[in-house]
Amino acid sequence: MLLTVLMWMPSGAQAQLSEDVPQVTRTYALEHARVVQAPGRVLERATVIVRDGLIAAIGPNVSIPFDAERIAADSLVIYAGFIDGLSHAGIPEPEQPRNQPRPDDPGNPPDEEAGIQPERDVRTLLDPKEKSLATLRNAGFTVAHVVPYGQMLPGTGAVILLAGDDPKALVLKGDASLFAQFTGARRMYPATDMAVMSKLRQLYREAGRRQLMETRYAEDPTGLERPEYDPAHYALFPVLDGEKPVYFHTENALDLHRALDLRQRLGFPLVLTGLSQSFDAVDALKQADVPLLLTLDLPEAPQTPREGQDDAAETDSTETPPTMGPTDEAEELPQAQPPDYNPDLRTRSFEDAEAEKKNLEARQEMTREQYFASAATLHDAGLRFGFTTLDAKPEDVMKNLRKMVEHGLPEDAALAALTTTPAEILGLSASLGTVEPGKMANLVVASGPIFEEDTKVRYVFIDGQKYEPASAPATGRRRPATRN
Amino acid sequence: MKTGFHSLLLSPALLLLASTFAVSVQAQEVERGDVLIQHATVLTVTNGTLNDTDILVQDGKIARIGQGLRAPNGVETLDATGMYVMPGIIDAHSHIAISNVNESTSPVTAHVSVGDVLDPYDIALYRALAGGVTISHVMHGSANVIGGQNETIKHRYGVKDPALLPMDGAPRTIKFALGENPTRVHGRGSNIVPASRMGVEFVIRQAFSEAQRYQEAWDRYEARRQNDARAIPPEYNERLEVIAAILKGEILINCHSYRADEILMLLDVLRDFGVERITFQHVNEGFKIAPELAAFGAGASVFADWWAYKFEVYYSTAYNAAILTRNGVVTSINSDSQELDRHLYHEAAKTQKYGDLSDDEALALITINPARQLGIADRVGSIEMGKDADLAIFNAHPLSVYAVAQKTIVDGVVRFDVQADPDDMRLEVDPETPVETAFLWEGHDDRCMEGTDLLGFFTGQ
Amino acid sequence: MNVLLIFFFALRLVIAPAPDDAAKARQGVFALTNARIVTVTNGTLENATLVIRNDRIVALGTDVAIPADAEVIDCAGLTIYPGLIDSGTQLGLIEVGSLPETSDASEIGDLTPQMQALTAVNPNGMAIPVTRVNGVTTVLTEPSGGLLPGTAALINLHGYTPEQMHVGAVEVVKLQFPRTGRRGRFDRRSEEDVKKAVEEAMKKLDDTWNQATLYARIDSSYRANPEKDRRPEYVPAMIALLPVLRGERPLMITVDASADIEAALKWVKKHNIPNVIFTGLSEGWRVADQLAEAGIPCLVGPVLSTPTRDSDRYDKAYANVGLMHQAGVKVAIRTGETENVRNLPYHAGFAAAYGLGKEEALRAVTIVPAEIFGVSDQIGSLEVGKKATLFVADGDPFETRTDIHHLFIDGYKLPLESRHTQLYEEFLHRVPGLEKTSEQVGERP
Repeated sequence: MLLTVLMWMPSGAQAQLSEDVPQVTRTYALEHARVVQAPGRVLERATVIVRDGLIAAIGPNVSIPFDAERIAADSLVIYAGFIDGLSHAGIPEPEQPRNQPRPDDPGNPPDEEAGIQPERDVRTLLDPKEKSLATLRNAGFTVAHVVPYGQMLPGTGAVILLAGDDPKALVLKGDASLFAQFTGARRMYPATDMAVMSKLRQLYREAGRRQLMETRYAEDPTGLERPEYDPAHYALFPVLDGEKPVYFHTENALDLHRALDLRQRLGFPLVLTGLSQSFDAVDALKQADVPLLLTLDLPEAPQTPREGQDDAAETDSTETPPTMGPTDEAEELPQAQPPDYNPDLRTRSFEDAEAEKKNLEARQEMTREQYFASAATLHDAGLRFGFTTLDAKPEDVMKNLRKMVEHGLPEDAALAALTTTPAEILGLSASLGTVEPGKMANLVVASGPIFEEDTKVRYVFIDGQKYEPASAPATGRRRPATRN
Repeated sequence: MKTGFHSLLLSPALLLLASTFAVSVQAQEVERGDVLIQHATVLTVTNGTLNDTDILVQDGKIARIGQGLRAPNGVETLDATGMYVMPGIIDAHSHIAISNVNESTSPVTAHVSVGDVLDPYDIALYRALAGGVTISHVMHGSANVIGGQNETIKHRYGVKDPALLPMDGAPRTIKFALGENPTRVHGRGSNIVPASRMGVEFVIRQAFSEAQRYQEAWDRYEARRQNDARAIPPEYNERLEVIAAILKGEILINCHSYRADEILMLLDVLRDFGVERITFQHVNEGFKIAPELAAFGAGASVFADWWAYKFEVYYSTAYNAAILTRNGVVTSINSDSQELDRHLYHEAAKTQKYGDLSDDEALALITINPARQLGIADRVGSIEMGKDADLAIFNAHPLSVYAVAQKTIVDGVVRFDVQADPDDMRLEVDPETPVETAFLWEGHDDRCMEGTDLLGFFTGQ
Repeated sequence: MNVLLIFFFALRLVIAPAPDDAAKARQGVFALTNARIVTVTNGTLENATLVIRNDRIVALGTDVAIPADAEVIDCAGLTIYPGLIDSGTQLGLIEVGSLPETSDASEIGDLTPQMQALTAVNPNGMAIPVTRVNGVTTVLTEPSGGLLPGTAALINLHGYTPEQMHVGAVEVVKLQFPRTGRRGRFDRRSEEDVKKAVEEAMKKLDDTWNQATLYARIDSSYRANPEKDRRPEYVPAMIALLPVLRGERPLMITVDASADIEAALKWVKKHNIPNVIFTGLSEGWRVADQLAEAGIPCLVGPVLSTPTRDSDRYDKAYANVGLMHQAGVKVAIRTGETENVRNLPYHAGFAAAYGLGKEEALRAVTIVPAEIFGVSDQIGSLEVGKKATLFVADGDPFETRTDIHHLFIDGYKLPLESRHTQLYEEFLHRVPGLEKTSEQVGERP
């Protein structure tokens, strides 16, 4: 009887379950889909069985379990759920304190005020109702490595599922990383980037000394001064031991060089994230040989405030981004031909002013395209990378991904950056990153090939639980995810 | 893209732009070039003026100076008939090409360094090249009594790796500041010592004394470690470590100062702690104590004619550089400005008006003298065999207001070429700001106090 | 005995101390002989003589009779130039830049055209002698801050009261045109914020002008037919604008970015402002054709400033004046300085080197600003009948190695002294030198 009812329901038109309506099964059969198990490994017309949170079976002729909710997926494409290498998803953004009192001694403030909190555990900050979880999920992400907001050392990160009932349920792997960025303290030391670098050196070296003290004292305390516990230094011990990586966020090429300089001097395990403008530092990246996470944020053409007689940048684009939420930004029309840039143009007088303006705009457009082609540049240099949405607006993620593909990033490389590479960087390849039996059932089910313009995300499976992106932005309404 | 052998036929600008858009494959090495400059009037600064003379540059060094030289195979020749060649100008006080100027949160910040935040993209590097500058001593600002460390960089404009800017082998230097700036930022701004010139002296003495104790603690530990495997090192403190290095003479002090009395104060403090070398910066009242400065052996790096923008420079004279020079003080003229550093040759020429310095004396103020102050006089600052090929070529005598720089050469590589360079020499382009955004000149742009508004108060100049 | 006495008296006349040693200004009759004279308007004369009587040039030429009562100054090997004019400064209004108590250039409020720079000038400001010894004799000194900061005045750099310094009663009302240009490289406001600020300022400006026009009509009406017990409202800002609306006083508009210049041109046309000068104009070259067409005279500078865009050619700020001149704009040069107005000749020198040419550069700091301010009958060139405001130099005044030997303002011969020269004299060889100190060095702990 149940089976008949289930089979009777039209496929692809699964209605959203209202609140309080109980879920009846945790088994799903996604039938006759195109399954992209991993970049370059595709199964046509295969069925994926999801059961008890895992991918139970994949194949063209697998038997459908009796309790499966069957979903006809003939025209759909299934990928491994995307993994966000670095994000603040699930963490409420803290309020900016207004009228902060001036510290008594701005040169030597308490660590927490100066943004030095490496011991702060992101797991204590998670909120499963946070909107960003849903927005990322709607873009196809299933797992994210999240870190706290803050200044130079905001805290310790954790890998989480992008859905759960309570904070504990979100966590996949805790104590996963130390997060660092070039964000100075406000109105106290360390305020500038050079001071941040200095502070990091100081912390690291002094932590080494305290670790030595701890070790010696533990071996035999006689005659030795008692080591004092201090959370900031102690939180660095696993980094000193090479066991915990530092995820260092960069926003431009100079940040990148500076983070690498710190690593060279101190020797900590490093993951470089952000990498905006990395096309200017490819050599340094190759030499550095560290895991990389590229930002999914891309620059946009300026909105010229003057009456746009000729501004192509202001015209609305014909392409519609997938339904993540309203987008107001101007889209660039795909250029019929490359911009006409003359590097040797001389602007001698007012007569050349018009030509100069066009030339400058052409160069700026070429620069934007350099950014769009960042991913392709890294790929062509033989560098592997994952992605981070830290600086990006989740609504723009798919649009930007597609732009990167348009500008030379092979689709397989893009998919790897979304799945297998971040899984590897996070040390979770055994359970995540591909669509294979035995792995966690984290899946993206799309209406077509994911990098095509009109493709929409139909379902997202996280830990074997089905989610459907709403056509309106997520309101925070609880998903029907009652589990036993 | 670039090899060790640089061809002058290819416009450096085109190479630069090509490298902007291609994947940069540059080696982690400083580029050095070869060139033969012919028939120039050579202003050597240390050995007089040579007419119709050639300079052969090989692998970034001045290989030969003489007449009728011949170019070895593959070396480009540059006809400098009617032109003047002088040593590349050295700006002893600058804040270009760094992302931060002041860490103004504490009166003593010896552990920070602007060398950690170099910015090779800064267009100011190129514009200074267009005025003959080849080396800048880029400095921490003057908000703190003991500020951060500085960096001596070469204007290798075109490189994108900040590690390629510093001049290798240049001595370490650090910024000190006396007077109104630190008392305003810390005393009046944060209500911490110093609020007066008395406090400024105290801060220095205290820092030096603490550094001595720090050094002693580490020396004791090193000694103890020989016999005791369980010896624990003392607490690590980079700030005191740097100050200890100053006391050992390993880092040269460059002190922003104006009033005669505060300069004398610092000389006394240095004598007490056994520090023998110092270059005072700005030192507007240096002329009042020129004999004392000369006796100590202190250097002075001054403005040509800035005055009256603060009370401590109200009693200044544009004859400062001349008076100091005549009293035997090694004097340089600096810019402390990305506007002035484009015409330091003109600033130096002002000493001919204000004090009748000779041509060589005036040129020395922007070449060999700053080189001596920075501890790099064996490498640069004059045109002599064996020195770095840092050269500036002008179409008229550089002390004339009508002189226009034609080419500027760094390590034998042409980094500025008035004919070949296109207008737009940017190395990076902001992808989002509208191209016609104008940044207006607001006058007197010294960045010495930049970043102090973090603490939220009036900064003045 | 008599012969001896006569001899001694004659000797005394010959070896009497040169009048220049006196540290006071003096007026009288002077004959500057054997000089090269750069008249600016009538070419250059060699081996010529220029005669000054009281405040005027009374004779000039190669064949001039030297009056009997003249003090003769032999200018062999020297050149006479008209005093240089800086058409935009804050000289005399600010003594020490960082001390607000000493700064009188800026008043509270956005609409304060009635604030007078002239009377706020400190005639005894330290920078005044410092400036004139370099040959700059006359400057426009202007208020700043706000939309209509006040009224600027043309002053000579000599006099003990502002009235004594005031030249030709020249006063100009200044307008800071709403600017889209960023205030320096650290102005990182968003595009929208800038646009909004400009729109608000433009509205305020238009509203002000409309009100001013109405006020002018009311005032004219009243003057034609005064009512007995009633006067127009006392609105000081509007009163100050009356002469501008009537064309009796110029409106000097500060404008720099090219988009702003275009907007200002439109605005001037829309409101039919009769007498307009533009000042600043760092991007003037970009719209030089429009400026030339509009026929608005331009006070351009500072020349020694950085280009407005990173993408600009490195020398654009130097070349700006020359490019505007080539397009047919009437250009004068300004420094915008306060304590270093003395560098005006070098701003001119750089402009000359980068396209303007020496001759036009000299005109841009002499006759052209004189014409623009309507005082070319008095100053700006060396002609009989004009004021004796000039200097005698041993070379090209734009070159730093040139020294000035004599200086006259309004016929007063001025000592070539300033605080800077006095400090030089005192400290070149200080007495005591090092000796006294070395006694004490040994005593220090």
